[in-house]
Amino acid sequence: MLRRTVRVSVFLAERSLVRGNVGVTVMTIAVLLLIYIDLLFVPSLIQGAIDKINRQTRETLTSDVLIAPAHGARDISGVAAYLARIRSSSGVAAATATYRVGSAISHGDESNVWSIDAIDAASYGQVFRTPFNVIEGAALTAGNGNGILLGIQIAGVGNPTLRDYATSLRTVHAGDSVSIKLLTGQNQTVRVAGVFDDHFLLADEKAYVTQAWAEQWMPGVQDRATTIYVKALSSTSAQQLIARLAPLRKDIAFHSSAELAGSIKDEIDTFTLINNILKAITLFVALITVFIVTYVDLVNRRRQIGIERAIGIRPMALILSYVLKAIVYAFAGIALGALAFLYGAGPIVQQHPFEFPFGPATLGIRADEMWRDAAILVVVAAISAWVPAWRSVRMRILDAIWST
Amino acid sequence: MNARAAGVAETDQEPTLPAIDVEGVSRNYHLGRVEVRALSAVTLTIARGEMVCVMGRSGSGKSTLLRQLSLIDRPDAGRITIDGVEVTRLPERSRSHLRLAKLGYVFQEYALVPELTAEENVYLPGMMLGHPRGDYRWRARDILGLVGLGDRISHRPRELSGGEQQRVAIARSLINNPSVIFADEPTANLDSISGRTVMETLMDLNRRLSVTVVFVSHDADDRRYAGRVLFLRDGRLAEGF
Repeated sequence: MLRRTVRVSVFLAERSLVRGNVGVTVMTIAVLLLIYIDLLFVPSLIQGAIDKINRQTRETLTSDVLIAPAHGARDISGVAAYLARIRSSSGVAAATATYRVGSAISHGDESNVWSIDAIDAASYGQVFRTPFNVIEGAALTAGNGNGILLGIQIAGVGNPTLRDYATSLRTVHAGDSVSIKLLTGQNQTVRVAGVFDDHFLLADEKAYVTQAWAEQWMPGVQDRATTIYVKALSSTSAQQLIARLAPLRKDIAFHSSAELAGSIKDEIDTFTLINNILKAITLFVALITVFIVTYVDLVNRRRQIGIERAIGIRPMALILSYVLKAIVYAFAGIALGALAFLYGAGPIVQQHPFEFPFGPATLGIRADEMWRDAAILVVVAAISAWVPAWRSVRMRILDAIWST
Repeated sequence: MNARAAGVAETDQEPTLPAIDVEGVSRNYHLGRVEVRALSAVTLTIARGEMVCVMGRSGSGKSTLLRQLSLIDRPDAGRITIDGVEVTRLPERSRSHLRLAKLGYVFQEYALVPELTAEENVYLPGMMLGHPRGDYRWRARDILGLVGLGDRISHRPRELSGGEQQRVAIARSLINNPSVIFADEPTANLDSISGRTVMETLMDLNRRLSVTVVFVSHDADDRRYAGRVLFLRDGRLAEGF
């Protein structure tokens, strides 16, 4: 009986779709197409933003794996030999060590507290993008070592629109001199070698000097580091890399970039919340749309449904025919929406990215998200068709036939 | 074409049983707070192969009687037996199956599915009953030939005249080899020529296939197609004439 019921429902749905009102079919599919794009667009944009934040974090702050002193230790000793062993490990693309000290940096009447990282300029550029984001002056090199590289949120560069301009040095440019007072008590006046802009607030509040120069006025930092950053080959995950590096040394602690993303967790959580709210609203619109289309169709065909029931067509066959139609509408809308999204919206946003405070973001298209949203939309469409169809066939046959 | 060649077998039911046996059937309707007695203790028997016309004035209860007999509506009281099966208290699912398998119904208005061709409209109940695909298509074509529409099988309802649509509806009522066909004023919306064709089609099927036909009409001329006429007045069965 079920097979017969399904066969009749498929027959009725197919004939209705092929020979029914083309305008209604096209409009319904068009609405579901837009709904599917709507379901995908904002989450993809948010995913694109999250991807961007994660990439910025890796490229300017943490790299793939961060090695810190073991709990209780101030720094890591024997860095040169350790770095050599790290670099020779499989899956390592590059590695660099930094020594971080707290400092007060001042210029004229402006002063604030920032940390300064002493870096090996050559290897730092292999791990991080910051040396390539210099907007004034030049990046630190072995030959340009007696200066400081400031993040734009420290320098201020006379740009009041900067988010932290009020607490920055406000008007510092490359070539200016700033005074540095280390927490260890030493004072220095240094030339600003350059100013960089990573378009990432946390990164743009950093300052760098070369390790070689730092060793001259901070005795004791030689061959020591507060942090070692390791960049993995694209074929190696952070966890795989940690597993390979762990046996090399015991007195250190490993962290992946994902673990260290706590500072941006609130932003990601907010994005996810917005995403879920928008998705719920969009699915509700889909539900109402299919419900209205089916309901109007059923109202117009109430007498026909009564007659079909009178001649013995099972109510379930009639309900299923409407559900199948809705599923076909949904599949068509999803297929066309996916094409429009992948070959329309995606490339357009790639060429014209959305500007966020942390830089331009494109659509982070994820196949699993597309499949999941498609499945949800199909289920929503089926339920929205089922409800009015079920209500219609519950009506007494005579009432259905007599209704106009 | 004879009945067997058309694939519409003559009934194989027990010959001594009447096609329909009605005993004390009453039906009331509520129009707001007013209760209208549409049928009052109707008792009748219709034998197999009969062609019966139910006549009466407007509001006399003839369509109500037809709906009780065809299981589209349930009586408030009384008992209806079809082919020896008491159907009055059957659950809706069983009544639906009986309507599909044993009864045919022709509505006053051409009640065809607009998206289906004449052939598809005819074989839809056959498909629902579970006949093999080739079988019900073949039967539909033969039955359409039987009602004179063999050359209109691919036409959709909007491409057919009123009389042709009504004959498609008659063909549809025959697809599952019913023991009884009910027709509720089948010529009411037709011109006289089309109406005559429809009635002659019903009469021809009654004679050739021995299928029982019960039809309602308000047109006194239609009594000539019937072997017996039942007359309803105020929901009660009057003497036939």
